[in-house]
Amino acid sequence: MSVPAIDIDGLTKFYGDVRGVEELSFSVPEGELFGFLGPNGAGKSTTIRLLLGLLKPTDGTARILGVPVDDRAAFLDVLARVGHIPGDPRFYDDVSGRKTLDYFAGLSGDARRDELLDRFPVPLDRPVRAYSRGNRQKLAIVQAFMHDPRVVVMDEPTSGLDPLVQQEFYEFLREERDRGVTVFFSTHILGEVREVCDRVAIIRGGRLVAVEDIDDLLARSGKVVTVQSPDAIDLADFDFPETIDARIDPDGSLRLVTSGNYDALVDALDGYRVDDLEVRETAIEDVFMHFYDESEVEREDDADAADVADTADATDADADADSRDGESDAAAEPSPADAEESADA
Amino acid sequence: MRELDIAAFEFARRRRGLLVVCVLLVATAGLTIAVFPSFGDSDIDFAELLESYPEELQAAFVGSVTDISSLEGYLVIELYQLVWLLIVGSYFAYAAGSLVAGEVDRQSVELVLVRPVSRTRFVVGKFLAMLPAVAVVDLALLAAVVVGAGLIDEEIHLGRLLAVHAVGGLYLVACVAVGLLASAFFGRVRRAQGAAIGVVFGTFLLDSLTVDTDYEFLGALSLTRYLDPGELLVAGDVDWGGVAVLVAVTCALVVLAAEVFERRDLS
Repeated sequence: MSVPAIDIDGLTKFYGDVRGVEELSFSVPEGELFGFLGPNGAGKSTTIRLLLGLLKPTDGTARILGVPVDDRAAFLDVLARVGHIPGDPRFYDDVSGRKTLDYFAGLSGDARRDELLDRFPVPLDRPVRAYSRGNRQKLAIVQAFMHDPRVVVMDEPTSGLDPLVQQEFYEFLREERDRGVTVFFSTHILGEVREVCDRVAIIRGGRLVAVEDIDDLLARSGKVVTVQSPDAIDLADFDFPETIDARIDPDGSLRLVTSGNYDALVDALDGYRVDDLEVRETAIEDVFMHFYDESEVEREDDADAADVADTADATDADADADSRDGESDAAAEPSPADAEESADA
Repeated sequence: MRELDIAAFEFARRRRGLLVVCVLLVATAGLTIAVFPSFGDSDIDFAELLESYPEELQAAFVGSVTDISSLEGYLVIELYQLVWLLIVGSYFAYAAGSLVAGEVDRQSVELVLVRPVSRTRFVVGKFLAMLPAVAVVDLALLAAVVVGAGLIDEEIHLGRLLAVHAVGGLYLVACVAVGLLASAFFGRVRRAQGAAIGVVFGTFLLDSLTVDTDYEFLGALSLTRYLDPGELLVAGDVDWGGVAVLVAVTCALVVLAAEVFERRDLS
C-alpha cells in the first residue's frame, strides 16, 4: 500500500473572502470505503470538485493515485480510472438513458455496463427528462462504475434512492471495496457512514474536524434518548458511565446521549411518570455537539457551523444545490425504523 | 478521438433546432426569389432608389451592389447582406453561446470533465459540432437559391454563388467561434448568448455606421468587413485577404476559448 488512492494535503479554497474549505489534509489508502461527513454547506462538494480538478485550489494539493490534480496531462490518465457521481447529477434531458451511456462509454469505456444495469435498472429508452430522481441516481451509479474504475468519488450518492435500492447500493459498495476499489463518498447522514464505511473524515465550516475509524466513532456516538415527563427530572439520576451527555431541554424534557446500558436507563425512569419516550440514532448534529465542543472556542465554532448549515448557499459558494437541501433535510430526520431498531438494543 | 465523440453527441442534440432554421431560411429565400420577377416588371428605377438611401443604410443592407435588376444583385441586397450576414450570423453566435456554458450552467459538465477529456478537447469538440451545422444551413440556402432561380427561369452564375456560400460559410464559422469564446468565459448560458449576439450584431452596426467616416477603422472589428457578398456574387471577386482574416480570427478565438476554459473554476 505505497501510494494512497486519495491524498489531500493542505487543500484550501477561498471564493474571495468566503471560505470554501481550509487546510484540509487526509489520505485514503487503496481499497478503503471512506466516508466524508458533514452538514450541508460544510464544504463537501467543494472538496470533491477540487479533488477532481473542476475547481482550482487557492492553496494545497490533491492527488489521486499519486498524481497531483494540477499535473494536467498525467491527471487525465488517472481520470480514466476514476468514477464520479456529482451531488445532483444532471444529464441531457432530451437524450435517452441508453444514448447518454453510449456517449460516456465513448469517452471512458463501459466494460461493466450490462452487469450494472441488471443491478440498477433504469428505463433506458426514455429521455432522461422523464426519469424520476431515483432513476437519475441509478443512471449516475451506472455511469460512475461502468468503466470499472479503481477510485470512485461520490457526492451524496444515495440521495433520491428508495430504501431498497439504497441497501442494494451499500451492498454493491462493499463488494467493490472487497475487489480493491477505493470508494470515497460524502454524506450528511451518520447512519450511512455507520452502515458502510471503514473510516470517516468529518468536516464542518470548511475545516476538517476529525478522521476516525468507524468503530471508534461508534463507540463514542451512542443514541439519543428523549424523555417527556410531568415530573422535574434530576440529571443526576441519569449519570451512568455510558452517558455521553445529559441535558434538560427548555420544555423540561430530558435529552440523553448514551452509548448503551439501557437497563440502567429503564431503572432510572422507574422513578418518573413517562409521557413520551424516544430512542433514536445519533444525528450528525449530535456528534458535533457532543464530541467536538471541548472548549468554549469550539462551542462558538459550532454556532458558526450551524449558521453555515442553515444558509448553506448564502454563506458557502460551495453551493450544495438548492434542490438538494430540501431532500437532505428530509433524509436527516430519524426514520421510525431507526427508532425501533434502537429500542430493541 | 474524443473530440469527435463530443462533436457527434452535440450535433445530434442540435438536429431539431437546425431543421427549424433551415426551413425558415429556405422559406425566406423562396419568398424573396418569388417576388423578383415582379420587380423587373415595375417602372421604378431601383438604382435611383438605392442611391437615395443614406450611406449608412446602403452600407448595411445594400453592400457594394449597384445593379438590383439582376437576380444576383437583388439577392445580395435582399438575402445575403441582411438575412445571411446579420441574422444567420447572429443566430450562429447565439447558438454557439450555449455550447460550453450550457453544460456548465446545467452541471452536466461534471459528468464529462471527470473523464479523460481535457477541457481543451472539450471546447474543440464543441466547436467541431457546429461545423456540420453551418454546412447544413449553408447548403440548404444554396439549394433553395439554385432551385428558386430555376423555378422563375432566371440564370444565376453557379460558380459565383458557390463562392458566396464558401466564404459565407467561413464567416458563419467565425461567428460560431465568437459564441464559443463567450460560452467558455461565462458560466451562464444567457449571458454567453447575450454577449455573443451583442458582439456580432454590434460590430455589424459599427461596420455599417462608420463607413466613409473618420471612424471607418472601427469597422475592422466586424467580421462583416472581411467578406462582401456583392463583390463575390455580382463581380465574382474573391477577397483572399479577407478569407485569411476570417480563418485566422476563427482559429485565434477557438484557442482563446480553450485557454480561458482551462483556467476557469467550474461550479
